[in-house]
Amino acid sequence: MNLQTMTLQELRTALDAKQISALDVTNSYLAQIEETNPTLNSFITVTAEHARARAAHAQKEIDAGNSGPFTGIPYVAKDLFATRGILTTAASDVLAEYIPPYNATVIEDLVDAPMLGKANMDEYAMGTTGEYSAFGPTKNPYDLARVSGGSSSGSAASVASGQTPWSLGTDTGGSIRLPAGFTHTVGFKPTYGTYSRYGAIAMASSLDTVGTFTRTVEDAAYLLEHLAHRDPLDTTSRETVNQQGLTERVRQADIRGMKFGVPREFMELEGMQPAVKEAFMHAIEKITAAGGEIVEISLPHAEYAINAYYILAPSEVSSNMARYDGLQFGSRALGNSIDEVMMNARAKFGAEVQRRILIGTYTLSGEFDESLYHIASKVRTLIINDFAAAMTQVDAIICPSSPSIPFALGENANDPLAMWLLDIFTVPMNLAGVPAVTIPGPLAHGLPAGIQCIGAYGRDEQTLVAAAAMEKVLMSTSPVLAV
Amino acid sequence: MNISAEEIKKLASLAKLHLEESAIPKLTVDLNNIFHHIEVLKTLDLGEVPETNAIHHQSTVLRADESSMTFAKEDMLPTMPRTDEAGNLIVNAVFQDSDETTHAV
Repeated sequence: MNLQTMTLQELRTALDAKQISALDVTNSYLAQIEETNPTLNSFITVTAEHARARAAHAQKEIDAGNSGPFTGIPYVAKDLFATRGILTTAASDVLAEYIPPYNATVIEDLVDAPMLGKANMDEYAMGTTGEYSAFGPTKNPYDLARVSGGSSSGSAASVASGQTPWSLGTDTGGSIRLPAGFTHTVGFKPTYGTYSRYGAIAMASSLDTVGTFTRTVEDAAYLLEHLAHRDPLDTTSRETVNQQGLTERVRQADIRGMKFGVPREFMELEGMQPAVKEAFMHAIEKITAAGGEIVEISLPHAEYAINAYYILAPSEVSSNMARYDGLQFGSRALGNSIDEVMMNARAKFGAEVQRRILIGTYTLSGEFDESLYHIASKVRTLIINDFAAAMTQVDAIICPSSPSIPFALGENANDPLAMWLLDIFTVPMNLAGVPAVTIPGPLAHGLPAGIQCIGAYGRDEQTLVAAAAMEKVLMSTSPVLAV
Repeated sequence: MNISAEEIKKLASLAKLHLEESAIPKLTVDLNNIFHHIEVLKTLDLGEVPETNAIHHQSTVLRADESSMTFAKEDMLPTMPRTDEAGNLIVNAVFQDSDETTHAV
């Protein structure tokens, strides 16, 4: 039994059949973390004792016949989920000492699952590579000279490297789907509001989406079936429908007769690397050969998605970050005036966070250019309409999860705009709120290259069914781990 | 439009951010690149397109307006910058110059 490659459901079966104890499972993952984390830097905090105590408790529940879907199954949470009594930093010096007195809803729902630790990330989830962490970058488990993608860098790398069977992340502009593509994992961003945002430290509230990293699409479905619910503590959380039996329906996915749309605008993108396009075309061949149908579709306003996103997201960022005043929120600073206290406290924000706050201040200020926010909000409507129209023609839309193979560490460090443009395949889905999942595709230059499967708003099940059908057909060979 | 170094300083002061003087030239270049990129949207004819500020779905979740959530003192203390042995929050004195002078509340 190789725990490092087992799926969530295999672990459930083995635990319930008493083939293995919950403590053994947790210890095995903790040992893998101890061995590989010094190299990967996928964790900000490892919570070994906490995890062992939860595992011991879980075993008692299993022995008493009280096991739930997640009892005794370890997981990892991105370090922006509030965890009671456990350091929660959002990878920022501003929160370097923050110990929340409460749990995020998703953490509370997993109370009998041992949490192995808090995963590294870009500061406040702002970044595409994982390099904007106050705790250093996360390395790619397949090539240590490359990034694992961001912002949920540690959540992705920990699943890829067998440090955990699954992890929690967040996706505001691609922060789950891009790193999943860079690490040969399944990264699922459900419809906006599917998992509660309560206790997830906010970046851009109308876009922030909680989601999961797993080894298989079926595991993503298992999590959706058992973990998603409407939360009275999050006014934007949605009622999820028809979840029972979802995992089974995803398991039976069959690609024959399914229609996949490929957006013309994405395939014509100049910035797409040839290796990525080649890997994607290879995937298309396999889908067609297995009986899936490929049709060209159009998302006419997708080319403006980055422009709109980088107006709307920073606008919301500047509002959300305003709370870090060094008094009520954020690490305490001293000063001779209220302005000085705030300035000193906020000096701890990293360069990317400061940049986005400045842009948001510009786009929300009457003195500067407030009109941009309104224009971008209109473009957002057009993008929503584009997806809705396209989804009337197909079962799912597919495209690469990034126009680039995993970057070398430091490759884009000096050009923030170039970095932002790399989000072109992921931000439109956040603007539209639609579900999208990255699955491992054929490799590009021997490195992971994700394929994204996008569904209609609120149709998470159909999205996962289409992704599972593709997953069966692609059967993508994993690259060799470097740890 | 082009934004000047002076305007960036104004933005920073509105955002309560202290920028190092040495960081401003590069920031000016980066922000201008970004603004030129996003301003492309101004060329679109958007007419009567309605704005989307939030993804709309079911009705808002409402709860009764009652105070219900409370926190135990021992849970809240670790979130405080400084506390004394008795579990009191230590704050800086308001009317004295020295940072050393503190009061427990």
